[in-house]
Amino acid sequence: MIGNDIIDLQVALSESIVLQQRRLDKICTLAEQRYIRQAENPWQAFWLIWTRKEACYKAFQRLHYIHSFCPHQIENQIDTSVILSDTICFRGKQFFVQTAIDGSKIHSICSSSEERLKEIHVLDDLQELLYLFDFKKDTKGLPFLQTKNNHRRIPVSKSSHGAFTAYALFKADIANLDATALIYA
Amino acid sequence: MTQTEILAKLTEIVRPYSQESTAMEHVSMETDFIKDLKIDSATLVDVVLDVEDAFGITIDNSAMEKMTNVANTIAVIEDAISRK
Repeated sequence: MIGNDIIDLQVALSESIVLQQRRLDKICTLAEQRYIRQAENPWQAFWLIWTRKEACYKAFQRLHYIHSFCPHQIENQIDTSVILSDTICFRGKQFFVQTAIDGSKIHSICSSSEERLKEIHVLDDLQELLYLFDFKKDTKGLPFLQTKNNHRRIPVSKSSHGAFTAYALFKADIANLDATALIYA
Repeated sequence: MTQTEILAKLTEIVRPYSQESTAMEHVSMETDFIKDLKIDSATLVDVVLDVEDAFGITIDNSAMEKMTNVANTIAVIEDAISRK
């Protein structure tokens, strides 16, 4: 299970829009709303919460496919009102999430365990892999990489926003696939 | 309000949020906001809020969950109007 989500802060909706109460009520739990309001930068805190939810939703879809719009059900675990934990829950399942923030973007990755989370490899394009694989989507729209000889496929999570694109995949999958593809080439 | 009238109003609400001009010309009950109109989830919230304003209704979070396509959205709108 793998998911990632990126937000380009240059084009992200402004603070006055994203912090509207009726919008927050549709997206965030009460604990998340408290976290956002108490943050030093509430606008950035909102987008941090959002990317974590999106990354979790994408990871969940790999486990159990759903087509639903339920951001409020994806709960960031907040240790105190001001500290986010590294876990997030959705429909009774716990996921682990990690977020990187710099001045221009916020990026979250998510998986089902701490160990798997550490194995995630992030690329901003797939160019270096496309000599071995094709980027495809299954009938549900979930992306994967398929070896040119069709022997193997591995899950890949794609996220695009503004000027940024990020692909997340498991390092072990690339290593295995690389070897498999070369053997069958 | 007939289903056709709701569909016409909904199409105009969604139009500014979709870059898929061809798909926008053929919006039907089967149209999916995410797959067909390429509306991302951050923007789907805008659609839900605009629907509330345009129809003068309140959409709770359990109804919002279903609003990924036109048919479900029209059902949610009809239900909310009937309870006004």
